[in-house]
Amino acid sequence: MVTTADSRNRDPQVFENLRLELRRGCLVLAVLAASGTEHYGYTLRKALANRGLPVDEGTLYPLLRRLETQGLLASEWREEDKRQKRFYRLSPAGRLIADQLTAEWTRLNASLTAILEDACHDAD
Amino acid sequence: MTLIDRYLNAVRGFLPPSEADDIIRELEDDIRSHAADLEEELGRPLTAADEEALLARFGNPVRLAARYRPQRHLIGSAMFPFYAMVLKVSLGVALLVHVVIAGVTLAAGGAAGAALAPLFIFPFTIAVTVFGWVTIVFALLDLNLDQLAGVSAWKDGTLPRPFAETVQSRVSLLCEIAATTVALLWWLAIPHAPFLILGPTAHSLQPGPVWTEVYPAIAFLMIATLAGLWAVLLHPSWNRYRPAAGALGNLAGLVIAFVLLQAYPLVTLIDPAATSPAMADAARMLNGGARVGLGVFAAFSAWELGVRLLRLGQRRVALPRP
Repeated sequence: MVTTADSRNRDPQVFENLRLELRRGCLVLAVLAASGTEHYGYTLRKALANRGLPVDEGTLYPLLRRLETQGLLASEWREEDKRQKRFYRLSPAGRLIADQLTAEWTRLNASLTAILEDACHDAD
Repeated sequence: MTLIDRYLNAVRGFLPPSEADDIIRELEDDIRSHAADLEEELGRPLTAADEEALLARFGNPVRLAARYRPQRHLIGSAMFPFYAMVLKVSLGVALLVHVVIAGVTLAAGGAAGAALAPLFIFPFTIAVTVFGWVTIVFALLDLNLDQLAGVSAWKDGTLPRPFAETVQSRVSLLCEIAATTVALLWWLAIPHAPFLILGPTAHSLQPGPVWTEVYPAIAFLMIATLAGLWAVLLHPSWNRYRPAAGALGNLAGLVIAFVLLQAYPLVTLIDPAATSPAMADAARMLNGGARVGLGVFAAFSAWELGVRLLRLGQRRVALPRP
């Protein structure tokens, strides 16, 4: 039988794992949406962080490469500040997918808001 | 070479070679941009400790490089529970066989060292072999899991036709195939490695003359069983023939058991003149134990045959008339 103390000790890790899962699901849409403006990796990460979505250093670049492999992003190497940087921007296919995902996100957000409101009313 | 250069070299070592240059260029730019921002913030060049803290945010080079590779597995989550079960059972049976052989050898007065040594090296010999074969078989099954388990058919909404007999799940069939394959491979390996069945007594004992006839018959029976399992997996409707096939298998097993029970001895001494009395006693005990085991096997096969024939007879009676 799980004691209250065990529940308390386990909760932070459980919450952290679920929080990461929730964020992971949003990250692709956030990156696609932010890539509507041309960025290189470092500035893209800063842009997302400034909007309240900090991204792990080891997470963003593999994601960018995956999205590029899927044809959703296009990239090119250019020199800036005397250093070679890889700039990413949304491809036409990526723009279409971003729009579709945005619509899906809006639907999900509305559903979840309604569910949470119901839950609040039930709690009251 | 700075700490950052060493870190990038470490990551490069684990990247796909065709993409390594590209990935490292990008990573290096990111790390150095970070470092430049940090220097500006601190108002001084970074120390080794600063660089270490910066790189710690990127994480272990192996883990970082792994994120650039597609996720792969040898045995997936669908198959893994069955793989784990077959592995445990196979290892348990293999260990039990060796414990029994060691016990018989000790009871016959054999040297404790010779009897127990195989048990001590079991994790490094037989266990590794069993682990390897079970893993290879399940890895091959997992490669074709979608086709074998009918996952695509399920997604397309086409389900197998129902039929009168209880349907054995496909995954359960796969486990039976895996276990039978491992058993067949073990049986086929015995002539080349007699210790697989005789254990530490293999240097003094050999199979009796009757095995020249019975060995191929048992191999054929196992191959036929395996072929039958594959046939049912690929054509689920053929499952209706399994009780009849099982009854034939029981009959064949009874015949083999009868032939073996009539033959004596089942194991003989390789060189009677050079064998110790203890080993001769061990041979007698093995022969005696094998006859008892065969008797139990024959009784069980006869009972199972009777049950199968009874059910087949009842099914003929229960079939609706046209």
